[in-house]
Amino acid sequence: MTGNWTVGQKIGAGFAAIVALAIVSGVVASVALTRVVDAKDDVIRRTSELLVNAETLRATIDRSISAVRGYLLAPDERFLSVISATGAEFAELITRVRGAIRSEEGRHLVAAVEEAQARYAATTGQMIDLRRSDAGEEVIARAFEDRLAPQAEVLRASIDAFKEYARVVLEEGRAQASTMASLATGLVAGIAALAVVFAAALAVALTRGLTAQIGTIVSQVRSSSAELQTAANQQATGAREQATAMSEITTTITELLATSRQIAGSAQRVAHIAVDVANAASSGEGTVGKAHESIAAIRQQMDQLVGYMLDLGNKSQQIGAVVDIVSELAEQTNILAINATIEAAGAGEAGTRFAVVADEIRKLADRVGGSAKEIRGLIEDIRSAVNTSIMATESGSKAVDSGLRHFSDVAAAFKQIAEQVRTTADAAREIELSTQQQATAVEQVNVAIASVAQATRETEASTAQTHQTASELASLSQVLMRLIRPPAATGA
Amino acid sequence: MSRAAEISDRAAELRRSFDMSFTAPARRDVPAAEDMLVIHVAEVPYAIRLACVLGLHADCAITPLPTPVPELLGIAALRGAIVPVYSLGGLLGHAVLRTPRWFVTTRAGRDGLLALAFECFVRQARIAAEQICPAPAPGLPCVRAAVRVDDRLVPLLDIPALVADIERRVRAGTPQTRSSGT
Repeated sequence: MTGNWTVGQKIGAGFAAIVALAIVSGVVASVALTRVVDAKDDVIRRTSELLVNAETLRATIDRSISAVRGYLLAPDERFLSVISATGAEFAELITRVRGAIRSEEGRHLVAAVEEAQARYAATTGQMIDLRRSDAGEEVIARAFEDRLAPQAEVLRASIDAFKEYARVVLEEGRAQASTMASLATGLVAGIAALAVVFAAALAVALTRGLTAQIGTIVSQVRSSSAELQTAANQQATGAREQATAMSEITTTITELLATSRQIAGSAQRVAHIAVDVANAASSGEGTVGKAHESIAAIRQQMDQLVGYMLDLGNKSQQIGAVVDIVSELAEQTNILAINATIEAAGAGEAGTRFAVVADEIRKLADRVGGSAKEIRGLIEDIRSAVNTSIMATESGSKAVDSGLRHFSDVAAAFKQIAEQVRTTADAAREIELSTQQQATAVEQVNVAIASVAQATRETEASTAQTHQTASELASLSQVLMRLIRPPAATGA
Repeated sequence: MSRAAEISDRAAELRRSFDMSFTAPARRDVPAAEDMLVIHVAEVPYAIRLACVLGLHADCAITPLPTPVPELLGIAALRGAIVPVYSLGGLLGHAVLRTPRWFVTTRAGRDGLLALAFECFVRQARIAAEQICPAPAPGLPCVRAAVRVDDRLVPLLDIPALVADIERRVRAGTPQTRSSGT
């Protein structure tokens, strides 16, 4: 798992381990010292308390003996109160001492003191009673020397024995505390030694691990610096080529700028022409509208002409009917004249004059019939001409209708053309504006290209700097490699 | 000259001729001439002597009759008389037209009448004697002469011969074929 750790992590982990070890050793030392101090304090406190109490018992007994002596010399009640107070104080001290005693020997010594004190107290009572009995001083002195003084000596001896016991206990406690302090010292020294060993091992491990890792990294840095040198060379070559290309692009952009300005001028002229064309289209639209109205009037006149032609055809037909009647009458007259001629011939000489009249009538009927035929022919010609005229007029009317429709289409087309010309004019203006913007943009591009060319030159310079830096980095990596691996180890 | 002026001149000529017909005296020294009717039968012009017919009629109703004679179209009422109507075209060897428009009546036998029907009457023409000539080629027995009308030589029908042929057929009761010469 530690293989993936960084150098900082490893150093930090080692430092943390050493710190933890130091903390542990410090804690252990602190605990040990605390325990040693506590043990010593306990020993000092208990033994000093025992010694103080023993000394206090001795003083209390001395004050009691002095009070007894005083009372025996001068029976004053104040001595009695002192005797009583010292007795109570002695009892209290005994109680404290008993609470502080933890060994069987001490309890026996305390019991001996209590027993001696009880005998002393009883003897003291007898002495006080003796004094109160008005006994002589000698008796009292003898009784004091014989009875109370030994008791007092016994009590002092038991208290001294207890004091000796307290000194022994003090010595034992000091020795135990010293032992504990020695143990604590040894423990702290062991932990410190362990920490030193661990730190040494950790340092060795860290040194090896970091040396390997940094060596690998330095190798990679050397490889990367070599690659960086190669890349810098390539980049320098590319930068030179890019500078050349930028120069060509600058030339091209300059030409493009000139072309854009020409296009802008052309677009402006196109816009002006489109405006003129739009005006002409509007004028043409009005002219087409008037022509449309004229054609509509022609259409009406054509309709009227067709009506007149139809009327003429009808009238011709009526004339034809009348001529048919005339022709029929002429034919019948002719028949009558022929039959009259036949009858006149049958009448002989008498019918001669009638035959002449009948012949004249026949001739007249012949002529009328011929003229009627001629009129009929003329009427047929008229009807044919009228029909032809009607057909031509209808054709003309259809042509006018077609022309009218075409004119409507032309008018619509003109309107559409006018609209499209206006749209074209707008588009030309937009083209002009766009081309001007394009020229401006091209100028900006030209400036940007110049900046890019400058940047390319700077890149070329910085590439050289990069190449130099890569070389220095390779040298530094070699130096670093020598630092972490001796030349014998590296094989260099 | 315009058409209107031509017509106006013709009207003036007609008026003058008509007036002259009443002002001029009747001529007695009329050269020898015959009135004839010029007709068309099956688009072929023929001439008929006016003296051989009793009347010219048009648009008469024909009532068909059952008859073995195919040229007999039926009977018609002409001037109060019921007369048989024969197809002149059929008699002359042309197709028999069932609805002819023109008729000429002629005498049949002593007191009888018959009508000959044909398609078209052209006009009456006065033909001088020198315009009458024999038929140029032997043909129908009822055509023995020809007349010149409007610079054309028109066959002159011999009506009495036609009537005699009809009477002969009627008497025979059988139709006469054209190859027989009647």
